[in-house]
Amino acid sequence: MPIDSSFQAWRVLWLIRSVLVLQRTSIAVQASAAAGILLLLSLADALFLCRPGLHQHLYLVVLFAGGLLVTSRSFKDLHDPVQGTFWLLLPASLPEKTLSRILLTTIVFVAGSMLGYWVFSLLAEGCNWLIFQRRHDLFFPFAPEVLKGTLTYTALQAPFLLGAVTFRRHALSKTVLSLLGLALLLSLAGLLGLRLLFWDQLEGSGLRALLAGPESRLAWMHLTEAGRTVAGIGRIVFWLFMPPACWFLCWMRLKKTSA
Amino acid sequence: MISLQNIFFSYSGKSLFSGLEFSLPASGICGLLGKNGAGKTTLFKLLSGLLFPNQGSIRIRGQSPGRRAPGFLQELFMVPEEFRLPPVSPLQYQRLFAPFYPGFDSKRFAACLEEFELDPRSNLAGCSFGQRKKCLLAFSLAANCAVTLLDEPTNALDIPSKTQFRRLLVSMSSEERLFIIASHQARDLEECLHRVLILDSGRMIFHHSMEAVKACLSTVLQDEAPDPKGVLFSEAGRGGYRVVRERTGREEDSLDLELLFNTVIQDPETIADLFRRRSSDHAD
Repeated sequence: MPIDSSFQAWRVLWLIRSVLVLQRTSIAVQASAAAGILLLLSLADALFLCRPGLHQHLYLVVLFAGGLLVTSRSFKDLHDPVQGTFWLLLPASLPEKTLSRILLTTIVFVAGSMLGYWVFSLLAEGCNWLIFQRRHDLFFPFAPEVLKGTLTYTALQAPFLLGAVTFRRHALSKTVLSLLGLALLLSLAGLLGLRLLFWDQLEGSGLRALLAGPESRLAWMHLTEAGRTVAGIGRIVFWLFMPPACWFLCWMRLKKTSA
Repeated sequence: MISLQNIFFSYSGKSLFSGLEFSLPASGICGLLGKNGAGKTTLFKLLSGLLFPNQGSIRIRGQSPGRRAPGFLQELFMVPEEFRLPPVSPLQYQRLFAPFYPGFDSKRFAACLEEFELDPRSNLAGCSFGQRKKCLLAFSLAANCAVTLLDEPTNALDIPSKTQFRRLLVSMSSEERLFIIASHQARDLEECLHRVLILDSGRMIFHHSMEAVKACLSTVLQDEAPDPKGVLFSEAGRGGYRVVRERTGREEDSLDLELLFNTVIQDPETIADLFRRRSSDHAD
């Protein structure tokens, strides 16, 4: 038996291709439905407000809402008792299978949605011009807010991908609930730790006022150096630690999945 | 080629296999028989790495199925009893998934589809379950995997298709491939099997070649109820009593897998003793 356990890029691409080919009808229907809703919004905005940068903002809604929905459904076949068997037995390694789903829900989704949205913005603004004789600026995929949004989405989708592997049903809702629960727990633990360990050192700081006093909102404006450090650590965790950790956990989870 | 040693497996605390052990050669067609819930499908899932044993070792051509390495999966194909094929034609299905199997033979796939009278360009979404099953069976045969596990392959097949399937299977039996077929439709397969395995209560109670079965047991049809002495199993049916006895001479009879199964299930120890004794006699 030939031992072919090495990582093969072509298999990753082939896995992505097979998903796109098999889901093409579903992708077309969902993209058309989204385009219909977005066209109505674009027409309504052109009629009443004609705000600049509309398409950049609408695209970010599509990216986050659509992307997280797609990500949460990306392992639906694995959880299906019948299709899961086929997916697990397909001759590709688990890193290849995991990477194919990561790429599908990040690069492929972002690139596809950008291209699709750019085409849509052409059509929508063509309609606006024909009907109202005025139009918005076309969607510009390389606008700074769009690029920043895509980076944020790429990091944010990682826990949703982990949720998609973990939860058999209602993955999106359960992931949101889990993240909210985790955020609540971390906040409570952080506040408790702060109260127990560093209370004396925070004398006179805005954070202490925030925790103890009624003028809490104003207190945020005076966050101390310690607060900024915590926020910095949070940013590092969000951008550098969380995505690879979630993707790694996805792979670990898939390793233990049975059918 | 396939070796299971001391396998323990349980579903949510309920033990299914406790110390299951057997091994199989690299080629041939093996029939896996067993009552409902005996563990045939679970055994297939353990062999393919879909389930992990609680304890014990499974090796298929030197590899552990639980690792699900691509090199292992390229050499094992399982046709489950329940399956779903995407709404594409057999040809598109081949284009999408055949590249994952290095040994895939597209000419053989076309030949199998032709044998099964399937149009390679018709969408599977519009086909019956039986036709979709034939497409998957054709794919499994064309994939040229070293091990092919077929779970109830003849379910949902019409009578001509069962014959076509047997013909295809027999035509490939000379190759270095192992087919393991789990089925309740014993009569569909009895002509093409090389070995019979019977699983009962989590144990492999019978595991012999068809030559050994034919050499040890004889089946006769008689009008009157048999004298219990020397009878391993008998059942009344249309045309008289079908009686299984230890073979003593060169009686002309045809093997009936259902009868063999019932004989073994009724008294596995006696059958095991008989085969052991005949085997040692033969060795002497």
